[in-house]
Amino acid sequence: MSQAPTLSAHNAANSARHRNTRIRTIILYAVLILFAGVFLLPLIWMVGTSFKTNDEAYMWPPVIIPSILRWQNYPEAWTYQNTMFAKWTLNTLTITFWVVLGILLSSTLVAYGFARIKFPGRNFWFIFTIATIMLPPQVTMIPLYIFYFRINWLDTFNPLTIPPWFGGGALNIFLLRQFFMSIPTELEDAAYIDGATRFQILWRIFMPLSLPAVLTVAIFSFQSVWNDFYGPLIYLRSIENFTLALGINQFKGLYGDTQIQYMMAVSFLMTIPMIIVFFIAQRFFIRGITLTGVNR
Amino acid sequence: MASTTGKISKPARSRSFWRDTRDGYLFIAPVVLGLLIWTTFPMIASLILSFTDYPILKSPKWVGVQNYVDMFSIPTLRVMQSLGVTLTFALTSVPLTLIAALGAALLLNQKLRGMNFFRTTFYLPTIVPALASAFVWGWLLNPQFGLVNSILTKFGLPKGEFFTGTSSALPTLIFLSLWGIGPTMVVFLAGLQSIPESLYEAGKIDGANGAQLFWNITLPQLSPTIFYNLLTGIIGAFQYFLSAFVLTNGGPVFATFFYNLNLYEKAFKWQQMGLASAMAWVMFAIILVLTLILFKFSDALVYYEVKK
Repeated sequence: MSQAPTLSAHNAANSARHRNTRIRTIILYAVLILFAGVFLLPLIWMVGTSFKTNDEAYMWPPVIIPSILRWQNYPEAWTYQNTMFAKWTLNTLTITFWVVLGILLSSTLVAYGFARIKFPGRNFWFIFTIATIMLPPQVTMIPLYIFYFRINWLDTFNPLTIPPWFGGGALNIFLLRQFFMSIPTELEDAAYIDGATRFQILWRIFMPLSLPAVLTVAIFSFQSVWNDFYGPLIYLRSIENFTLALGINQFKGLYGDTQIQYMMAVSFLMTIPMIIVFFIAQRFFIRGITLTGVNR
Repeated sequence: MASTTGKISKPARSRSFWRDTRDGYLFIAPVVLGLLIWTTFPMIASLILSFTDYPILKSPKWVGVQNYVDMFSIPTLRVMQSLGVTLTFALTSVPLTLIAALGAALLLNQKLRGMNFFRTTFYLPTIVPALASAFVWGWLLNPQFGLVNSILTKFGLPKGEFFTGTSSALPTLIFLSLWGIGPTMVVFLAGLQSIPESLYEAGKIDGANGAQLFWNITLPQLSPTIFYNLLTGIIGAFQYFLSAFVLTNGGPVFATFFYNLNLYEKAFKWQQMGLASAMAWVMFAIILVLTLILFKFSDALVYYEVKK
């Protein structure tokens, strides 16, 4: 893997190989830096705008870096009229906690069952589980909405926090099952002889050994529930039950056109936990993506 | 233990068989319940509802296939129009994203100093919450105050209308999807790194040039990944909702009225639960058909290491 396959053959045939390699390196860096700028632009623009004064935010031509950093934008945005950012953050954290816990507990149990126990119907249920990846949520959404409406679950967190406890998502089950299947059977055979139950084996042997996979599931679950907009939009009504995403959207509707610096400040506040998690757990992100091969 | 005694003709089920069956179902009980409560029953209900007229506060009224007929015959419902928007988006944004992700992966697979930094940077836009990202783009592409128009003016180019133009709104959203190549790119990178170097060595000995190596080795080796991401990308395109909802609200003049946005409005703005259910089933049917077509093509085009 010393060089790019596409170019190395060409270079090998070239007599002025050394000079060409250098020119190639310079061009590669130029392209990389250009694209890095392009990919970073939205984030830089978000942070930059969040520190501008209102006048500077609406200045033409715009500047990327504000002339002075107006830190007050953050507390001012947080406590802006008709907003409840503290409550919305708490709601989002509450929902996130229950969803992630539910996903972790139920998907590890189910994945262990699929990976390690032989029983009639196992293949049927596994394929059924995996097939739900293809099912658009819109197909089940309307009867569920009517059902939640009848049992007075609308405008509560229940429609968002209860379903994850029942399976925890096909992709997560799949990922954990793959991981569990790679654990050698000798370990649990020894435990069986010592009289351990399956549940003890899952908890004492599989969980510690699969910590990377479990963390990967936790991180992706966190990411998806933290960012979720569609679910809260459908099921939550009153402003005090809003999540951050709904709240920021509400703010946009009321003041987005005139107070963009506050908009960007709260958007960045919502982004910060994701950035922290990403930098702490970067390798789990990468692992999770490559294991399932899925664009989440 | 009744099953092990007396029966001679049938092989006796062992004690461990029954214990395993009991344990197995105990362990997978959450997903079995989930599949019944949150998938099977609602699917049946949704299919039945699709044949009814159901404003949520009154009881449903059976109307046969009327919803399905209406969808395709009443232009004001804009079902076909929104389907057109979604298909346009799916058929342009998905291939574009795949090509860009592959290009980025090839670029990031070079052995150069500081590559980890660039990999992180290319991935970063995907961790920004979709909502925050939509608002930032709305502001970057603001025709009046946006940075992008300021840059365009600097180079003597005309200002763009972006989300505010009927012909530019959808292409803008398609273009923005390129900032989400991160996960696909990572999959391609892993794929590239797993291609045995010996294949390239052999190719070079046979006198293949860079382009030939790419077409005959890299691409076939990556084809299962490409296929899988094409499939999930198209399924994902039918879910496309957020940016259209918060940035353009389907406009201007329905230019970004995505199928899923239309469905949402039918269900939750107009309370046409029957019609919305029918729309969901049509969406499901289209996804199934596209999947089957892709699988048909994949037999010819996708290279699998081990043929079954």
